[in-house]
Amino acid sequence: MSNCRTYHDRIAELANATTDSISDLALQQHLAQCPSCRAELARLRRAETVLRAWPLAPLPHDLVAPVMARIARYPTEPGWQWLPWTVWVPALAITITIGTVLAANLVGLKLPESAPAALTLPPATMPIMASLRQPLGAAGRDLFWAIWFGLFFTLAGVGVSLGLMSRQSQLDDLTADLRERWEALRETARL
Amino acid sequence: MQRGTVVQDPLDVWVARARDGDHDAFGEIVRHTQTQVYNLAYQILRNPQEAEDLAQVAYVRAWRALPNFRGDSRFSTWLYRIVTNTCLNRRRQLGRSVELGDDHLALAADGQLQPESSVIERQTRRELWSAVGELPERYRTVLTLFYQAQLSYDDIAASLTLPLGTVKAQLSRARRALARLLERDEPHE
Ligand SMILES: [Zn+2]
Repeated sequence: MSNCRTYHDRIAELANATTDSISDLALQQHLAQCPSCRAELARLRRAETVLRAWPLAPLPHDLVAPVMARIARYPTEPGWQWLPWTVWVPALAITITIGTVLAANLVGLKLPESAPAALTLPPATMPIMASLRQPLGAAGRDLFWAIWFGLFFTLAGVGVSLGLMSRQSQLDDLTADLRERWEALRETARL
Repeated sequence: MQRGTVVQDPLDVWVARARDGDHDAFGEIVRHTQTQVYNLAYQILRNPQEAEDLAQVAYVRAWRALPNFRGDSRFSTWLYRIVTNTCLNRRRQLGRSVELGDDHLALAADGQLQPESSVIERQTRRELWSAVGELPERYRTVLTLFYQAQLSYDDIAASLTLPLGTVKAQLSRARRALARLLERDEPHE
């Protein structure tokens, strides 16, 4: 029957209803002539009956004492934990991408070789400042960039991770939704 | 559910006291919710030891987060949200390797039945346990919240932070998948 799908939702509703009577005339007529939808209704009704009688499993042990003990030791959990991979993998990828783009642009630039003339400093600091104003040697430049990139990657990584963490539930929704669609596709392929 | 409306929950009295730091009141909350919480944790994790441990972790988190509970949803809905998130995170860490067979729980559930329960009743419940065990985790979770914890669609959506439509669709698919599994398991004489 090609139009069976149009009745699926109404059959599901009917299976969950507490009453057996069918007020929907079109559905009633379809069920009267369609054995596969009648079978579907019977199947869903049986599942509904079984589910409504689904007993709770008994607890192996009472949780009150252990929970209260944990609370008394509060705070017992580590203040930090590894971020889930759905956070740190994209965070790392984004950070590396931005870092590479920035690095490609920055390596062409030169460091300023002296402070602006307007900047006047107390005489005691002059010798230190004078040494700082000297152009950096090759090793100094490497160190400068190492520190700069270290700081950049750490801060960018933490920033992106925290941003993604706050979007974690949406990320989960998205992956759950994609999984759902995939399962639905597979289900249809099997039938 | 309207935001801001205070929804009556039998636990409200204890919740108010626990929020002020009353340990005994929180103990009462645990006593009255632990079976539901354990069952929910079990359906997500499919491992009794993990479920017990994570139920405890979830309660500790609830205790710590209690000052932030504003009462704009039922306390139990709020608690189940913590349990669900805690267990889902754990499951993501462990993957499917954590799952045990459901014989253990099916047997335990048998123990809850009255001695006069018929053989058919026991058989049906065993079939249910094993069929539910074959469903994907998200189906098991919505079925548990709806049929065991008896939450409304709105409360499930709030617990799982999912849109209402997604919850309804998931429940509908879960029922359909379960119905097929039950039919397959039906004894044919
Ligand atoms: Zn049909």
